[in-house]
Amino acid sequence: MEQRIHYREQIRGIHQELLRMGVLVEENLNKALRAVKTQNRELASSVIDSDPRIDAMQLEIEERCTVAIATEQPVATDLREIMVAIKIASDLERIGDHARHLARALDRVSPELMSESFPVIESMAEIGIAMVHDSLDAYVDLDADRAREVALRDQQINVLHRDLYDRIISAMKKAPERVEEGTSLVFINRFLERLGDHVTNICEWIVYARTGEHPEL
Amino acid sequence: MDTKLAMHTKNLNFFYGDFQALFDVSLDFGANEVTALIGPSGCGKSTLLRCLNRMNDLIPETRSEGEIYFRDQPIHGQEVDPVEVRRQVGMVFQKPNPFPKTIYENIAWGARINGYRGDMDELVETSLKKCALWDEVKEKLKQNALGLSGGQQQRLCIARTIAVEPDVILMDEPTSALDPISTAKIEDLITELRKRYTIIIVTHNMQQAGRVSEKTAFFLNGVIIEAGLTSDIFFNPKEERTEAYISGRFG
Repeated sequence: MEQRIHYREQIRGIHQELLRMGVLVEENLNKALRAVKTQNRELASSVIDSDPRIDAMQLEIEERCTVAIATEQPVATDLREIMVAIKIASDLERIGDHARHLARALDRVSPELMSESFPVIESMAEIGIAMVHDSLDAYVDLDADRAREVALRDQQINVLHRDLYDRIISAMKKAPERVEEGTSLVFINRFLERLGDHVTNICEWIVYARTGEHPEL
Repeated sequence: MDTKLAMHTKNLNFFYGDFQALFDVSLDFGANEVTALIGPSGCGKSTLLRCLNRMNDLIPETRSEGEIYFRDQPIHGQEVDPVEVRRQVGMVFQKPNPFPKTIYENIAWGARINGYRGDMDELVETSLKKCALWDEVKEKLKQNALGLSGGQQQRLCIARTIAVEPDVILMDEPTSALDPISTAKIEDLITELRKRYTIIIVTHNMQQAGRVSEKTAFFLNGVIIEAGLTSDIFFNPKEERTEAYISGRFG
């Protein structure tokens, strides 16, 4: 017979809220990428407008975790699961911010300059989105092996990031009048690289929840 | 060996008649450390506690095998006086049990029968101060100890124990009958006392074990399932049964 039924329900509720948050973040990343690709301002606005909802979900998860710690005094795996939920919610919130940054690129980078860089941006974003999706899958079962595999893909984003950075700098050197929007593009590139880092963090937290050890993935 | 040992047991088995309550218990108790013994009711932790100062000798039809050492001396040696063992290894019980005498006499009595020849007033004051009780009782030392609150009675019992200068203090669920404020005072006291004494505490309160002890041993059916640093036991236990117990999934 399962014991501590109320606590298990609290944990389940926190997991479900975290997955809902993750799904919304993933959806926003997809929308932001599509908005940039199709120059769709309405879609970009919907990403920007829904970001406060993601922020609110993070606060809700933190609140529930705090209540669970205060009322149930979890230990061992139970405690690590709660801590990890707080940390993952924080990383998802930052990934949500990066989706918003990508959506804002529509106003800051001309379609012409964007089209030159877009294939690399699209590749980075697609790898990042798949990493978000798969890390959430790994989270459902606290699958440490899967989490390690997902984190490895961050290297691909890092390679693309360095490549795109060189390209943008070179473009700015050739056309100094593009420095302002080129700088915005440098930031987008940086945000996508950070996205990969945040998913890697999530993967590390999953391994930690499962094993109690802090891996460097 | 990194830590100096106050006590240790080696392959200790203990029997109540035909019933075996402890199985091959080998456990080290570092000097000036607090060790928590945890486990469900009937797992043998209180039996072990009572073995450590030979209180089980007083229970008929019990016997033990294996060794228990105080410092490096076996406590069951022929030349060893069990009364002296109990002076060096004092005990505080679950329910406060002051003598039905004055507060002063509760402290003085044990010291007197142990042949204490010093200044008794000073011993009473020092013992009560060490247990953070002096300020609360200094004006009523001649009053009956049974008039104190439960928490004060328990601190008085600890003061009574340390008045005979033991090295080790055994505590058998010392706060299970107390409210949270009195419990916090006892826990603060344990933290203070460990500077001078070695403390071995049986507790059913997992958070208390986590708060006050450096080492924890988890017992099940008379067997040590896992023993180690409290931080490891409560954050990342190696044994599934330990995890299930401390997480409240059985017990």
